[in-house]
This record gives sequence, structure tokens and C-alpha cells, in this order.
Amino acid sequence: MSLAQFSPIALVGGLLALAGGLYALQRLRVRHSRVQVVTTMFWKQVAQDTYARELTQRFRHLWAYLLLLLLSSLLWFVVGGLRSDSLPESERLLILDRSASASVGDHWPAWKRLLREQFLAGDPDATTVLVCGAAPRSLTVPGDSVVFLDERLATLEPEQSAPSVEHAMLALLRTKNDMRPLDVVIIGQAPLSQRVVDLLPEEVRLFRAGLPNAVPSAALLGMGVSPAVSGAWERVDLGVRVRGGEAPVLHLAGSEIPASKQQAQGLYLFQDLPAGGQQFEIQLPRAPAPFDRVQGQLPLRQPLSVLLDPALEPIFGGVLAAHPGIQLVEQGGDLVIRLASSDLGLELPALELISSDQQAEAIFLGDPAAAAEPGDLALRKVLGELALDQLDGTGLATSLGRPLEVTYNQASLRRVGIWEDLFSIEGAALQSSRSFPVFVGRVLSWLADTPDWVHTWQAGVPVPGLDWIADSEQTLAGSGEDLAPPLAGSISTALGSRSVGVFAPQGMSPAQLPAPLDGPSGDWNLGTWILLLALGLLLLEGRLVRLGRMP
Amino acid sequence: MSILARSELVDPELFEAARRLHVSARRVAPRGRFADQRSRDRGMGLEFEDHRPYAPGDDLRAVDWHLERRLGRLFVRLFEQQEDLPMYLMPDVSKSQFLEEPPRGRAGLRATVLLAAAALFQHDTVGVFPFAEDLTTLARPASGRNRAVILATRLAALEAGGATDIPRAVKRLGALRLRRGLVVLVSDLFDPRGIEAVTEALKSLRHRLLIVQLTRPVDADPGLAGDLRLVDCETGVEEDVSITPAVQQRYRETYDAFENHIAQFCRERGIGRIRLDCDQDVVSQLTQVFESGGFEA
Repeated sequence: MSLAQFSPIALVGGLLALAGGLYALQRLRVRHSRVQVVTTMFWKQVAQDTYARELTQRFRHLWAYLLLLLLSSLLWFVVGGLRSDSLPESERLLILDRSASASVGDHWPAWKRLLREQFLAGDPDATTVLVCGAAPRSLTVPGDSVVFLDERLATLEPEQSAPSVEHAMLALLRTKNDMRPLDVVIIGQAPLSQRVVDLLPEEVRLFRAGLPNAVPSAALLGMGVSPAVSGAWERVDLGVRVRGGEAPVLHLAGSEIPASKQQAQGLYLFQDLPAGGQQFEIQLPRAPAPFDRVQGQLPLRQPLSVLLDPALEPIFGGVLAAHPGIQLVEQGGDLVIRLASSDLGLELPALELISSDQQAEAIFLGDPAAAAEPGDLALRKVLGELALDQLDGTGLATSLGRPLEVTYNQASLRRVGIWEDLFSIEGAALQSSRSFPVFVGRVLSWLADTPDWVHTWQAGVPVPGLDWIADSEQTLAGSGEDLAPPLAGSISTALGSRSVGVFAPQGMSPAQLPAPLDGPSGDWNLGTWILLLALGLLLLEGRLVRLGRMP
Repeated sequence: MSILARSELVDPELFEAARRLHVSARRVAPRGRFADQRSRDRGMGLEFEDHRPYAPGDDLRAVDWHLERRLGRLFVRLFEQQEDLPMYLMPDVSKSQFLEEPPRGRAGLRATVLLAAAALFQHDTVGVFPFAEDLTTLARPASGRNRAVILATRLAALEAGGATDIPRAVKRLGALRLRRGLVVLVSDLFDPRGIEAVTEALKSLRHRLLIVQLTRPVDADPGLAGDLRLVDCETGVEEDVSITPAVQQRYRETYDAFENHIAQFCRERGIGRIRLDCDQDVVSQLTQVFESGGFEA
């Protein structure tokens, strides 16, 4: 047992004061029996001279005193907010979605109202309230009254952030270490993937209390940049995913650019945009704020400096000269293309042509980041990155009369080793392949290990390399590789100010959650029981007084 | 409904006892009826008392001719006049007299009948004026031995009154302008106005006074204890008291002061006082009082 309102000292002090006060009152309490007498003239005079109620007289009516003391003590406990320290049979976790979705229309006041209704429908002693904006935050703990909740909700506003409900659920998964049933009620539209739901233990039941049709019909859902399909090194393609509404409009360098084409339902493409690091904004007409616009920055593509072994000039000279993103240098450089026997640029990542006597595999891929024994999945990923899957491997193997093998392994520097024989097959040499320029470009990019094109930062989405941030105006969520800008807006980095956008939650296999059970749980708290007991004792006292059993 | 059965007052034992009692006055007031009491009048009695000069109109049979021969002047002989003693009985018939069992009013009315009969048997005039809140005239002053039964019958037919108001009753009696006589107040003297008010009123009486105080042992020691709401049977006034030994002691002191006040009043005024214990036989108590020296008004 503990008290929500009083400290133990205040509790004991109050009880002692009550006992003392009642003791005094009990001494002064008189039960009069009516007696008819011949005259009261003598008694009148005696009463004037003698106080009928004196504290110093013998203590009377002990049982009446004890009953009163019990009654008042119970009331004192109620005033003190007595609550049971024993764990309730079930707990409730109310999660209020405070992400950008909450600021759409009148969602926020409606969700706050729903939260309050849900809070009142359950036992406050077993209810925890979390608010999930950029990060989950506790709003009330078990035992807090609705007054506290109202006070804290009053100043709470939505955040321009991604939903963090899943983070809260994962945190719950880590911290829940008992078998008590837990009802989790999500108030809002924050998506919860089926994957997360499946991870939760059986005793956790999920509900969602939200407004029907609360998801905006038109919203920006996401955005991405890729190298231009046209192959132009200095250009990129910008893809925008939307829901409903009209086609998005790109504002770049003061001009308004319509989408080039619609790739699929809700996917628009802006092609051949200059990769000069310019700021841009995408606007979706008729979409509600904040999902109607997003700012970003186009990538800045720097040419790669390549050292080329003169012996290989006939094979790679033309391809490299034609590649707008590659600059041949005499010394230094970012990477090297050489014969394995050459000592050119030994300290640089290298594309090596090697004799089949020296290398068992047709293609060897060395990577410092590779695992000691990388699996097939990692190999397939690398093959895709290098566009090796576009090469006619079967044709090459047939022409060569030997099977071609590819190995992906750990190395001190990135290195791609390829048999020289593949470049000397008569009539089917690799350099004569249609995909050879793409292959060379991809291989050089892979060797240079250029970072991903992170042109648009999204709230709540981790940004690789965010550790370069020197001076942030925001509190970064996560840590290490998972660092993510928590809120939409702008963020200062060592490379300058970056825009952070926020997108409407979109399909990621959201779990369909039932509505919470209506009505109160039916569990009365301890205070209610004590009040009922006190009322019963009061009625008993009244009855005893009427029967003349109590003074 | 009468307050007592007739047989309790028209009681041969009472009348027999009355014959043995004698109420004598040192001197009765003049101009009374001829009876057994010595009067300040000079009249036709047997005992010679004095001479006085003759005055026109005097009975010549009273002239002392021997003295006329010796002194040459006319003197008349004066003899002691024996007249009646007017007795005015004031029995208290308030509610408090009939609360307990046996009621102290029974003792009071039996004492009233006894004294009235004793007076009537010695040819005195007797008037009966019961009182409670006010004085009533039950029997105007008159004599006659047969009146004793009549008075007893009338007293038995009385109904209990309300609250005791002795000062008012005394004032009303005084207003009747009765011949000076003996007023017998038969009461417990428990007047809500207090004993001081009672004695102050009694001081205004121009009659001689005999107080027959109706008492009980419980008056001095009620034997009550605990938390009580005492209700005055006459006024309905309630008094809450928690009776402890200290309170009991204080009560006894208060009652003693009451008794002392009466005793001092009677002593200073030469007033007769008889304390009757209502729980005991009235006749024997009164007989004992009169036999031990009688009562001289």
C-alpha cells in the first residue's frame, strides 16, 4: 500500500492527529438518558458551576471511539489517495501518435479527446500513457490522475516527425519481463508493421482507437534520386511517390518543373535533373499540410580520378574517355586500373587484369567490409551493384571453354580481379560487350566506394554518415549508424544546411488492429472500496445511535 | 380526575389523631369569634385581667363597685377574651407533588387535613387555599367540627395543578385581606424561581407562618449517575448533566444551602417549620412534633 498524495510521515501524522482529535471529542461526547425529576433547580445551579464535558474526566465509550477512529481513518486514507502496491491483473498502455499525421486537419484535438476517453475508461492505477512524436515519451505513469493528463496534454502539440510507435513497441518488447496481460491502445494512424506485431508476446493485445478515414487522401509518401537512366553522369532522376491528388510539381532554381512521366500508380519521375547540389522543393497540389510539400537537395557528382596502366590503354582508354564522370590522371587519383604484374598505384583500390594461372576464379571481388565468409546474399548484392549480372556470362564461358566463377572475399582494399583471358577471346572479348561501359562505370564506382546519394533527409530515417554533423539544431534520434534527424525542417551540418522532410506514413504491411473495448474496465480502485466501507460504517453508526447502543 | 382517593383523606385515623393535637396561639388577633385561643380583646372570659376607667357605653355589669367605693371613681373590670385562631392552610398541589410514588402530595394533603381537623376541633376557623401556579379558594375561613370531613372530601377531589409559583400564591393570599391568623404552607418549596424568591414573598405576609416542608431522603441524595438529561416535570425544562462524584458533591452542597436558607429564614423570623418525610407516616410525625412540645403559633 502507498499513498499518492501524502508521504508516509504525513500519513502517520494525520492519523495521529485524527486519533487525538477524536479522543478529545469522545471525552466530550455525552449520551443523555432522559430522567423526569421533581425539580431541576438544583441541577441547574450545579451545571452552572460544573462543566459537564471535561477532558480530564474518565474516558468513556471506547467502542464508539474505535468505530469513529476507523471511519475517519478510512476517509483519511481516501484523502491520501491510498492505492495498492500489488500489481494489477492487467495493464493498459495508451500510445498517442504525435507525429506529423496528427497535425493534419483536426486530427490532433480529436486524438487527444480519444486518449482522454480511453484513459477514463480504464483503471488509472494500471494505465501508462506514451506520446510518440520524434521519440516515445512517457506522459503519465500508473497512479496519475486524469488531472495530470489534462495538464500535460494542454501544452502538447504535434511534431513534424515520422511515427515512432514502432520504436515504442520494440522498446516495450525489450522491457516487458512479466507475464501480466497488457492492452496496448494506439491512438492515431501511426502504422505498425505486421512484423513488429508478430514479435510481441501473446499477453500483449493491440488495439487502435482512431478516426475512420483519418488517412489523408492525398499526400507525399516518399522520394528518391538515382543516376539518370539516360546515363548522363552529371544528371540524376528524381522519383516521387504520392497518394491521390494531382501530379507533383518540382520547384528547382526558380522554375516549376512538371513530372516527366508517371512510372506507375502514384510514382512520378523527374528525369535528367542536374546533379549540382541545388535545393529543390516538391509540391503536391490538394494535399493537406504537412504532407503537401518537401524540400531536398540534388546530389553533387564529382568526377573520379583514375590512374590507367598504359598497357591497358587499348582496352579501357575509349570507355574512360567517354565517361563524363571519370578523369584520367598521371599520378595520385582515387583508384587504379592496372595489370596484376604492375606496381602502379598499389595503395589504391584497383581493377586488375590477372592471369588465370594466378587466380582460380574468373572474377575476384575483395572488400574490407566483407565478412570472413560472406554468404550468397552478399555476393548477389555485389553482383547487382557491379552490373555483372548484365554480362553474358554463359557466352563468355562457352567461348573460353572454362566455367566462370566469381568470389567475394575480404581484402585490405577494394579490389576487382578479372582474368586477362576474358579480354582476349576472339570475337567475344569482354570489351566488345554492349554492357562493358556500364560494367566499367559500376566497377569504378564500387571501387571508389562513393557514399549513397542521400539527397533528401527524412525525419526518422537513418542517414549514413550522419556522424559528420558538426552542429545540429536538432536532437538526433538513434545512435551510430542509425542516426536519424528526428524532426522535419532544416539541420546544420559540416557540409552546410540540409533540409529534412517528412512524409505521410505509407504501406509497410501495416497490421490491422481491432478497436479497443468500449466502456470502463469495471475494476474499482481501492479508494472506491474504502469509501463504500466508510459509508457502511456510517450507516452502522447511525443505526446504533438510533437503537441507543451508541452515545 | 382527583389526585387522591377519598379514603386517603377522609380517614378516621387522621381525625382521631387530630383530637389529640392542640394548636395554640400566644395571642390571636382581636375581634375574632369566641373560641379557645387567648385574644388581645378584653371580654367575657373567666380570667380577670385588668381595670380601666369607665367610658360611656360600657356595660354597667362590668363596673367594679368595690373600687368605686374605695376611690370614688368608676372603673370597669376587664376579663380575658378567648377567641378563635384563624388558620389558613396552603397545600401545594403542583405537578411535582404527584410525580413520585408514593406522591409527596399525599403526605402534604394528609398533613393539611390533620392540621385543619385539629384546629376545627378546638373551635378555630379554618380556610383552605390550595395553590400551584395560582391560589384557589377551596374553603373560606369558617369553623365547625363537622367541617373537617367536608374539607377532607374537597381536598380529595382536587386536581393536580401546573408549575409551582409560591410567590404568586402568597401575594394572592395577602390580597384576600383575611383576618390575621396562622398561615400553614404545605409544600416542598421547590419553586423554579428559587428559594430566595420564595422567602422574599413570605416576608410580605402579615400572618404568622408555619411551614410544613415536604421532604424525601432522595432530595438530598438523588442517587443519579451517568449522563442524564433531566426534565423538570412541571416546566419541561431540560438540563443535561454528567453526574460524577464531583457533581454529586456539588449537588449536596447546593441542597444543603437550600435547607440552610430555609432554616435561617425561619429562625430569624420566628417562623415555625416542620419537616415531614413523605416516605414515612405523616400522622406519627406530626403527633410526635406536637407531643414533644406542641406547636405555638
